[in-house]
Amino acid sequence: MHISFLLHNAYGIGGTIRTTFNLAQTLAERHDVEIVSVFRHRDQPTMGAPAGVAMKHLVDLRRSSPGFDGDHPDYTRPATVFPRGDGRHKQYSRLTDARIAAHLGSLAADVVVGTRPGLNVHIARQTRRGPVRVGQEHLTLDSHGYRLRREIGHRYPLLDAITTVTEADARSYRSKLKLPGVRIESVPNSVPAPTVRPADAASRWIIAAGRLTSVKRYDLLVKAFSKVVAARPDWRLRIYGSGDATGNEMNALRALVEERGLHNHVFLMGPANPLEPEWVKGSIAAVTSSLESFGMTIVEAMRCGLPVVSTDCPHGPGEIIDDGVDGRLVPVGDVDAIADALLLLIEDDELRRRTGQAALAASARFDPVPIAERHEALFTELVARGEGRSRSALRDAAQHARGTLYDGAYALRYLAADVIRKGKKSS
Amino acid sequence: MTTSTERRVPRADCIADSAGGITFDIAGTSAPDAALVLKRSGGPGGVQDETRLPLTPTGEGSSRAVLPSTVELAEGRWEAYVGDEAVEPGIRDLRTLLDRTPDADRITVRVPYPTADGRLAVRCWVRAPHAEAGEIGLAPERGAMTVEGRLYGAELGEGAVAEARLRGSDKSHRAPVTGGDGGAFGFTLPYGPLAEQHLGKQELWDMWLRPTADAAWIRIARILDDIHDRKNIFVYPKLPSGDWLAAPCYTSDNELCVRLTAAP
Repeated sequence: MHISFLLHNAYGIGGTIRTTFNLAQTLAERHDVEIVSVFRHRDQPTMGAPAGVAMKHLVDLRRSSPGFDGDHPDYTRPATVFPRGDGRHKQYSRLTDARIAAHLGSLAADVVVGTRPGLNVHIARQTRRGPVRVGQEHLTLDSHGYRLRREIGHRYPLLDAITTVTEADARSYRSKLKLPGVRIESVPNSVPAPTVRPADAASRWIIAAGRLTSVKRYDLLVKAFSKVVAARPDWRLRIYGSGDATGNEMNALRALVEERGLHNHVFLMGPANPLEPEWVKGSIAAVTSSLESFGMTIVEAMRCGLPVVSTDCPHGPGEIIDDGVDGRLVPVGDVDAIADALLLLIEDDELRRRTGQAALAASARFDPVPIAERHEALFTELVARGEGRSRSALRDAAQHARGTLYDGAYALRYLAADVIRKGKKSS
Repeated sequence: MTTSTERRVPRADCIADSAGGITFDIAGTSAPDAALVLKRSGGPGGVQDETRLPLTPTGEGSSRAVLPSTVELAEGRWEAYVGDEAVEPGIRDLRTLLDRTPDADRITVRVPYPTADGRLAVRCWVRAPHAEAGEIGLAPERGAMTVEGRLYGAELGEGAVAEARLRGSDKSHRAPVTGGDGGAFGFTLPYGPLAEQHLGKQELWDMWLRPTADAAWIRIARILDDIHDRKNIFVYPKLPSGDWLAAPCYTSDNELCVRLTAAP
């Protein structure tokens, strides 16, 4: 199969980029795979180019490049296709509208895969007849605002399939939206086996890693660590990561570390890539988020042999950690519970070692090979059914009608879907 | 509009051992006479030191170079090259460098790190004797900091003092040093005498230690772990002292200072 991924920016750092690279690289062993990055601001991908995958871009933001697009007049005109409800809307423009349309309108692929809601909407609206249209949800339906959820509800019926990273989110898509005939499947993110040898439980460091944004609730971790240090001053904490466009808690966390007198015990390390050699410097990992769409860092730490203490927040941690066996789940926002779970593993060397071993074994299910096989099976099935052809004809008709009559198009869309499902009644 | 980014740049994964040895595993090069060359930049008079480490093929287009702990590398920053090409940093497994308390009088530290422009370099320290800073306590009520540390290759005796020296001047202030088991040292430095001698808007006082009255001065540093530049990682609270705020800090060479900034 020829599989084409559409990614916001393959040259930055982030969980979606990493997981797309992992999947693309594994699929590329058996298929013709490309990653099309809407934006390019660097010569080389920061996270390392995936082997065997063709890399393309649509809008060049490298000032030194002869193809620099930053001074194109359409670059500053607000996007109309890319939905306003997607948090990246400000970065999109009439230029991206046109470039993405040209790309999708001429795409000679069996499968096109979008990696964020705004791009999934582009795929639903602009892909030529032929390719199977798959929209990936790397966050969750619940995390989107009303405006984006509404847009998703209108546009996603023109996709062939939606994949979520947790079963919890797949249930949301099935129950909260009317997406007749659209396959909704959960496939967790993959994490390759680290190239470093696993951690050995001897170190007295706790490691946390992620963006320094408020949703990660590192403030709770620092507060919990106050309690840890009171009992075990020989243990210390490293937090890797930096802020992003949505916020930067660095100064607030520094102030908290200072207020608690933890400057000899808690260290804000800044960003690190790759993370695996940093995980193995510790013997316990901590995640105190209020929300984890998936929980990539949990799997990464487990693949490095670390037991993870995580809040049991929506959506991922509970689907990754088997509480008390290969890690610990604690209630969201409960500083004492976080501290107690950390201390339990700190005080019992054998428990820590055993839990880490279990984490190493259990996390093998997230290896790129079995995960890519699940995507591959879905793609293969949809391509074999000719989803991208027969249905698109009807859907395109629906889409044209919707251009002027939004509500009318709703009915038409359901009607079109019903035709495909051979006469099922619309409610 | 679209281009491929396929390009083979030598890229090295590093494994550090606690004695100062480093193993470099390099993908993308396997010429039989290839070598990994470490070049020290910023040497005296612009002269560059070079150390050649032979690359031994390990199969599948990759090769290995070993920097044994016994090979001398002068203190400084050494950038890695294969031929004319700078080497990209790969995975740096530095876990053995954490929390070291070596049983040695001469301290050699080699930390592979990525430079700001994405090249692989090795930060080397060679110290004999060496004063390693550890935990730093703060006493807001006294406007002072208490530094604990460990001395290597020297013993504390009569006349042991720590000295803060104002950069770019002859101003200084001393504090007595106390000793403990296994080379442990400690001193308390009140910020007041530093603030009283202030000259400019922002001042950096370098911290030195003299183990005995007739010994040579030792620069206090913190180098016995995996962090090549702790300036922005080891950050300490500021305490008011007169019109100033004072706080311990590290330079990007991991040497201990006290920084005085004007109070807002």
